[in-house]
Amino acid sequence: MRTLRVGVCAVFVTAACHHRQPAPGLPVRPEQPPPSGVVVPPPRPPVVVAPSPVPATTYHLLATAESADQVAMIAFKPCQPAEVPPACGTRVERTYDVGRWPLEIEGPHGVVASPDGKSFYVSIAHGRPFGRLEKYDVATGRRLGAVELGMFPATVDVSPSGAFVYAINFNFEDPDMGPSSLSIVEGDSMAEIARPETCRMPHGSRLNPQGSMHYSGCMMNDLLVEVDARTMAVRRLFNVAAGKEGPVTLTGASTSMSSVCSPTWAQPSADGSRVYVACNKSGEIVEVDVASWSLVKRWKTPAAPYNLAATPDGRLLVVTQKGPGTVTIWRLADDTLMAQIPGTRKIASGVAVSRDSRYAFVTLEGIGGDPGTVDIIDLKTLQKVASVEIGKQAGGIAVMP
Amino acid sequence: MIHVGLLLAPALMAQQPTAPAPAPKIARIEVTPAALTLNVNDTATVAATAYDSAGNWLAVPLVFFSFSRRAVGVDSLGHVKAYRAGNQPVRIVALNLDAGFALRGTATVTVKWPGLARVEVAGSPRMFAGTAARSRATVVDSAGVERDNVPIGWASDNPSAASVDQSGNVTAHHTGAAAIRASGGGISGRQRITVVANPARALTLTSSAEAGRTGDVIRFTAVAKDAAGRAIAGMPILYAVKAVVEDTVIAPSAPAEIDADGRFVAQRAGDYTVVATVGPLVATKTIGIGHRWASQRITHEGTGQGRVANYHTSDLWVWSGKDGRDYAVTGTWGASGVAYFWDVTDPAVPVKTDSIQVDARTVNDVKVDVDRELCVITREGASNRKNGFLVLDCHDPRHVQVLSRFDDGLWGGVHNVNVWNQHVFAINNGTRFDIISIEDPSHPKRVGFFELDTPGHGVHDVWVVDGIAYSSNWQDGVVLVDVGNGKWGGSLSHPVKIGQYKYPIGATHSAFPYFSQSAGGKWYVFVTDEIFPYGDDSDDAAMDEAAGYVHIIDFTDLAHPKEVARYQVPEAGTHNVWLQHDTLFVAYYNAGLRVVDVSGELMGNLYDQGRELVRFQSYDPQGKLANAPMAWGPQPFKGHVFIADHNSGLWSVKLPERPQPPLP
Repeated sequence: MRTLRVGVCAVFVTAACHHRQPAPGLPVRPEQPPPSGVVVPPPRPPVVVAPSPVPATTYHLLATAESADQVAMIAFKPCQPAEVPPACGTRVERTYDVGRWPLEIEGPHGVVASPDGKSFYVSIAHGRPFGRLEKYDVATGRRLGAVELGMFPATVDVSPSGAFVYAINFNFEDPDMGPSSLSIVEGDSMAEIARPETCRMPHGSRLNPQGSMHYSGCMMNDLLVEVDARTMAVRRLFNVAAGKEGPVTLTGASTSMSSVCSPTWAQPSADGSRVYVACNKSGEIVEVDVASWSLVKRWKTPAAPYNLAATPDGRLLVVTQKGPGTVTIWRLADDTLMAQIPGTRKIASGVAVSRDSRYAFVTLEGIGGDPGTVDIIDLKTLQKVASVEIGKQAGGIAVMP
Repeated sequence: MIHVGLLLAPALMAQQPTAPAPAPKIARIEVTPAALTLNVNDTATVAATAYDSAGNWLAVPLVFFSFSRRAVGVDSLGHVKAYRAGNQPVRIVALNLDAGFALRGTATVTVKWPGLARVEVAGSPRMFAGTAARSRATVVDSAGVERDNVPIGWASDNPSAASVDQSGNVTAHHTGAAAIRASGGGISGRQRITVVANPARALTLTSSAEAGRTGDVIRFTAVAKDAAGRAIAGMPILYAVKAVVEDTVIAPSAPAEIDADGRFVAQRAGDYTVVATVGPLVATKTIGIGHRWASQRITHEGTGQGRVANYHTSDLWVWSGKDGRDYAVTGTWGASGVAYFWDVTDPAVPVKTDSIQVDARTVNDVKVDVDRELCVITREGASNRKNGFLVLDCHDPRHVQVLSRFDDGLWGGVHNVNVWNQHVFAINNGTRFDIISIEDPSHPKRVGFFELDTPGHGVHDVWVVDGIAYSSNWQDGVVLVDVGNGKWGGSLSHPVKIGQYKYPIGATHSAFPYFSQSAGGKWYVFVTDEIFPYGDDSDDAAMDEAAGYVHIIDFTDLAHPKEVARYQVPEAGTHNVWLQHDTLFVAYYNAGLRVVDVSGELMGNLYDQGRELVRFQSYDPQGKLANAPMAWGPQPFKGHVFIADHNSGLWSVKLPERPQPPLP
């Protein structure tokens, strides 16, 4: 039986539970400027909204701590007008130890809850040498199963039925940057049932809402990859490099080597008709029409975009910008930058959105000895409303059903 | 292989996706036939159909997959192929993506074992009357697979010449011939044995020593001679040992062992009589075995500690600076990328002189190029995920300076490094070791790498001595690579694999070579496991339980390495070792530091033989984890042994005088 740990915060708080000074002497990466020649529109003035009622609900989310081999269960209860913490706010309800070897950092990276909320899946990046997908019982923290996958399994997603789990084998650390793959795991048996080869250094993968198509970006191929969930095979490829946008033959995934865009995330829209791709290297978002498999548009971001999340109501795209540790929020109807919100600490990483489209939950990795942090952003007021610390290097994040 | 069935789904098979349509309501899925029995390599076809609650057939895509693809495969059209027989049936499942796993159809495939083809019997074809030898039987099926699930029975067609028991032990009685038959699964095989007259008329037994201590390997040699007094070649000798241990030893476990070659080692003091037999001839020889010595438990009094309580500590290195003082560097684990530097000139009082913080969470390994006063520290958990290692100027450990960072192609994190001949050997992504020149320490440059080609290979550590890299490769065991020794044609840019030894546990974690002059020039390699049998089952307030032991492998015959001995402390686990002056230093995780005499030839479990010299538990009430020894790495240095403890930092222990008890 694995031991459940009480998290660092025992009560709800509206800011980080306790503040730590940045470790002295740490080299800090400079904020990446926009690519030369890029004109980035300033954010719209702060939206002035009348005090709006906040949902009378408690949101639960899971976040990985990649350098602590933990997954945190976080509760967020928005404060009603008459409420003050600790009756409301955020807290780490429990921390799950994940992985197999206590004296190796195994690196939980992606996390997703089963649709029934009874279990969660977490990708374990490092093994001997292959990584794994592990399944845990939410209530007890007991590991329900594990399956060895490829090199550095990263982002994970689950089919709407809960039958299949998709883990992209990032293979980020391969010195040769060889072609990698998508692992498809049957969640009940934790058996890997298919592993289609996709491209070089695939990352940032998500299913469309229908669960019929799976999308991932290829950091070293500049490709968007569409895998048909029914055939479990690569169906289409799309070049996302500026000036080269368009379909690519299926052989292009393993033969080409290009990282002008270096896509780190592929996010289907709320209705599945579009896919948004984060061009981390060129500092852009690329919008691809699924039906015609063609470019809709691309737009610049203030800094290198990393992970994406679309609101279920179809209105907004939330973008983490890793270097400056900020989040940008875009109105999809007209690509308007609604807000750029600084994170609580450096290295903005994962992002997920509540099912009611009201809140965005953002992980910030921090540097060195920093704790990981989850920021909570109110997508109505476009302001950060809460923050909570978890284990080191907060990464993958998912909303509980 | 894609395991999918597309059953009349024109919309989905079109090039362009269409707007999602409401999913049909599936009530059940049937797979026919529901059960199949196949032979290996047989093929069959299953069909899957979905129905609604009214029993109407639904044109929906169904996915096929096998729960054991190595035993039974299924393709997109439901074509099934049997690859491997087994006792358990394999399920082929069809399900609809939208309906989920709760709605599925299943066909059960049973793959029959192939028919048995032959029984091969291997034993001695020529035996001397009055001797015994063991025969072995191998059952092979029609697929060419050796089967270990077939019970074997033994028989002789001429028991008066040679009989056989049900374990395959053949005893030659009288001259003549006999067929030794092994039967199983309805077939049999046999081997013809000729029993010749036994010319032995005398048997002598000598030993390499008349007395010894526990742990000493003493060689017994029995020689059968004919009537003319000539030694008879090929005469099988059976050795056994009888023990009369000291009265103080109550209910001893096996007090001694002797192998088929006559190598003897005792774990308890007493008198031992070795018995050698050849047919009716018996020879005995008795020797006395005395105590080796009692292990000394070192208390904390007089030891030195450089406490690290804010972080977990990783590896260490101790060296003599050119300023005449002694220094150490320690790394930190799961922390903030810190390495600490210490003045250990007075080992009883380590003094922290400097620290350096790099963009990392873990500085797992630290090494020092002593001649050039360069330190190399590894990075894992860098914020830009590029990791690699750093080269530091350590000539003044009060003001350590970064000379260079090297992360080219080392993004996966460098878990361990070694430094030899102005080159860094860096574990790269757990899959290979890279060789990087630091001849110009400000501009490291990769010159080569070595990687196994086995499926799923991994590597954890590498240690280089005399141009030979000893890499620890988990399930692939320890691998010896010529990286500049030259004897086998290897070089830094062209490493050549020269030897390998792997064992079933598959947990090869670190390796350290030792050329033992006291054992007659044997080339031993001491290999440690890293095992956590209970996984990560503790939290920060409890000690992790480890397992594993030190494997002692004799590489003297490089082509035929042999595991000859072990050092295994019960209910604890090994991490890193060091060898020096016939002494093994083991950081034995939760068992603390162990210092072991490894002089002479080695055999059996050294732990049982009184070879342990010193034990020290590196616990600290104020440690990162209080009172929980977790020894990570040892290094002997100027009469002390320094230890990095995961939970409490740097320790130094003064080694006591090595006892030399008289022989009995």
